[in-house]
Amino acid sequence: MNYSMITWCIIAAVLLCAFIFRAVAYKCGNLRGGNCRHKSTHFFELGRDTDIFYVPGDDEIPGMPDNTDESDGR
Amino acid sequence: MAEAFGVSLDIFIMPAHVTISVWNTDRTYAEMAQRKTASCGISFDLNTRLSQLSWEVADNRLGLPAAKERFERIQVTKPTGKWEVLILTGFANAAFCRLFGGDPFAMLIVLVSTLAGYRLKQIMLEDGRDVRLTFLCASFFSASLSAGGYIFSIGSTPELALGTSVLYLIPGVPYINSVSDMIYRHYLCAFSRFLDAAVLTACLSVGLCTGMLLLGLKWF
Repeated sequence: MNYSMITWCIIAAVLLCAFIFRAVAYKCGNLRGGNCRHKSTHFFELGRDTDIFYVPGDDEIPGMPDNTDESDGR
Repeated sequence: MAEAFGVSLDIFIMPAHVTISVWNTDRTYAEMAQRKTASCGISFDLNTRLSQLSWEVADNRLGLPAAKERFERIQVTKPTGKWEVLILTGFANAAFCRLFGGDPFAMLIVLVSTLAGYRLKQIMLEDGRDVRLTFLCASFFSASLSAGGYIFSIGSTPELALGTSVLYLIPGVPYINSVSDMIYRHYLCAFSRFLDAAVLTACLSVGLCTGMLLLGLKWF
């Protein structure tokens, strides 16, 4: 196989993989009974330390829109 | 249509807005409305139904309440199914290849590359990717797949397969509309549509050239 054939095979394989991954993601979404695209987690993500675990005393609680204590009257 | 309702109107079309002015017959009272145009795909089904409605009003003097009711029903017309469009686009592009003198092998290559490229385009647009990037990727993969005819020496007209494999991406309707706008002296809108179509054509060309360059095909 020469250079062109190898390149063609790689391009075709990349496209095929994209379609297969898409089909798997779609099926996975159907099995879960919801929309997979909005609920699935990414392989790689940029996040903060607080996204991994919460340590008492941290300023922000991940996933909580407002961490203000109601008892302090604010 | 305006004559049927006993009014006169003027439409001012901008790239993202439409302004409609309506006067009564003796031109003593006018109403003006401006709306942002919805950014949606081209639906020939919708166009046909709207055209039918306009002729119903003009020829059969359909009343305003009835016309409004029909218009509201037309607005909820379902778009053509994506699989149906995908298959029909593939066959249409293969037919294009035949029209230019391609042999059955070239037609088959064009059919496969169009199906793959168009599906990729549908997926990327569903995911909300940029239209220009979508056109670039779809044309790259379609051109690369159809170049298989050259690389594996399939058929006697591989050059036609390569050339026609990206024809489904040509933004024909915006080009036609820009000429139409130019004829009616809507120059701003004509220029905007033409530039939009030209950018998409440039992206398609970049994808095609990148595919040819990567696969080591001769330009001429």
